[in-house]
Amino acid sequence: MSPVHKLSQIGSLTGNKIDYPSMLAGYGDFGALQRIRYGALSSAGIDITNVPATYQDLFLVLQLRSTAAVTTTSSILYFNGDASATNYSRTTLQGDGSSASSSRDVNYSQLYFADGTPGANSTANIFSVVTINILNYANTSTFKAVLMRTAADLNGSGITNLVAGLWRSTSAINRLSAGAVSGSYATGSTFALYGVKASAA
Amino acid sequence: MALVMTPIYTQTASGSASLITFNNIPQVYTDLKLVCSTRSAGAAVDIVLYVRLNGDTSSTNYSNTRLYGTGSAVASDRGSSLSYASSGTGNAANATASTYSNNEFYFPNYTSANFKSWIGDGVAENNATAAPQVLTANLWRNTNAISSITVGDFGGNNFANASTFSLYGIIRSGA
Amino acid sequence: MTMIHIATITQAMGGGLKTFSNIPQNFAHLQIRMNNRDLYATTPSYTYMRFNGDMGNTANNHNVRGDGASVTASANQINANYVITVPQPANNALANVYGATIIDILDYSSTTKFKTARAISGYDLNGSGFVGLYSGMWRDTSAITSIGIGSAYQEDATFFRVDLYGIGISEQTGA
Repeated sequence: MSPVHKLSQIGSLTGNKIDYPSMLAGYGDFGALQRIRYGALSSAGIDITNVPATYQDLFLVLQLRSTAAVTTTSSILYFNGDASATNYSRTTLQGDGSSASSSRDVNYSQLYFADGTPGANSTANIFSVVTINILNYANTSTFKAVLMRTAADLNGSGITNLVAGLWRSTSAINRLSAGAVSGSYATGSTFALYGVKASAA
Repeated sequence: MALVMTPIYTQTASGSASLITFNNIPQVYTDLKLVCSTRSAGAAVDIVLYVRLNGDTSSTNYSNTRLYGTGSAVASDRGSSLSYASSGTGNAANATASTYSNNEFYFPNYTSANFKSWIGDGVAENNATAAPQVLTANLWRNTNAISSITVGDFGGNNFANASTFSLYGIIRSGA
Repeated sequence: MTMIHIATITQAMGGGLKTFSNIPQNFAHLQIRMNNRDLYATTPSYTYMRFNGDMGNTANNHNVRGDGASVTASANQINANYVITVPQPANNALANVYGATIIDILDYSSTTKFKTARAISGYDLNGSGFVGLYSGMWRDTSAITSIGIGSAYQEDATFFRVDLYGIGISEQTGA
């Protein structure tokens, strides 16, 4: 089953029309989704520095498990080393298998995410799935809005949730740091940071 | 330079298949993304879209946690030790005509030696109050790499003509 | 072909709806990524989307969402004249905050199917906000050639930035 690709027919750009030749120049076959950093998570988590400002959005994919002697735990995320001021908040939508709920964190020092991540007391080999979208991360006039999606089914327990987060800073994000709330990340935990480009430049 | 997100294969239902399967999935990517635009011949407004991996029909290897809205109510439920996972939602024969659902399933690290977890987001619209939206967490308790994905309601109801299923590979590492 | 940026509209400051026109028909699916905020102090406030300039009552939308305290599922509009509505901060909300929205439209160029959009969307104002899964349908089998975006109340542009992407398809097809 070999993939077959071809460049499609292209049009012209005037105002809102689309100029495919110029839009594609510089992309080649690479596309708008591009790799920045990736790999196995260290036990301490991730600390991605020097995030280039050349993308429009960031897209982060993680699979997480904690070594803590708990059934589940969460993770924390913060930007540009800001982990002590009360600049983070979130609104959540969550299902736990028996009820749907919504909650809020206000004036936190980090952004909580990946709720329901299995710990050492959960069935082995299970990892949560997390996707994080940070739109307009390099803009210097807006606070940073984050959409976070977590799926953590543990066969008899677990959660699924969608979270809107906020970092009240107009600084461009150039550093992402994350770690487990309880314990460390277990072997097999992974991360991949992608940039979403909005131009061919 | 390699594509990060590569189209692998697309299937378009012809109206005669109740299950759509992607076999022999290349093992060269890091994650898989499957998007589905579906309508079922089942006599209902909407159906649950189930996922089975590697043809594993074991009655106990799948589980899921769901949050869903119906257009008027919201709830969360769970399925444990199943023979397929309730991952999405689909329009069916009693929904507004010509209406097809919109689902995305994201499988990270599909070749890893861990159990396989994936995200499912799905909506099935309808010109009425009742229409489902679902956010699911899914689990296949098997350490094998995913080599095939099967989608359907597992109730024998064929997918309507023009239902589409597009599989993408996302590569995290490499040139 | 994979994920290709098509066009961007930025820093709209009034002057009516903003529209992506002459959308190429060569992709399989579309994705819209948006930071949105109302120009006006309207609460609640929504961004809405319209296809091909159709102002007839040919759309539906539904959602399941949380407000930080409770969860609701609703059918926002039946026979509406806009396809999808997602929440946004009003102009008098906490400064510098914009909502985040990602909308996926599958098979947008189909001429046999109505068009269903799926969106994850939300904003947080450090004490209020919404997050949810939203759906919308345009009951028309025409291919989508334009997408208009604006404020639900003022028929005016609202957002800071919106980007339109085309998602590719493998040339191999068949069940």
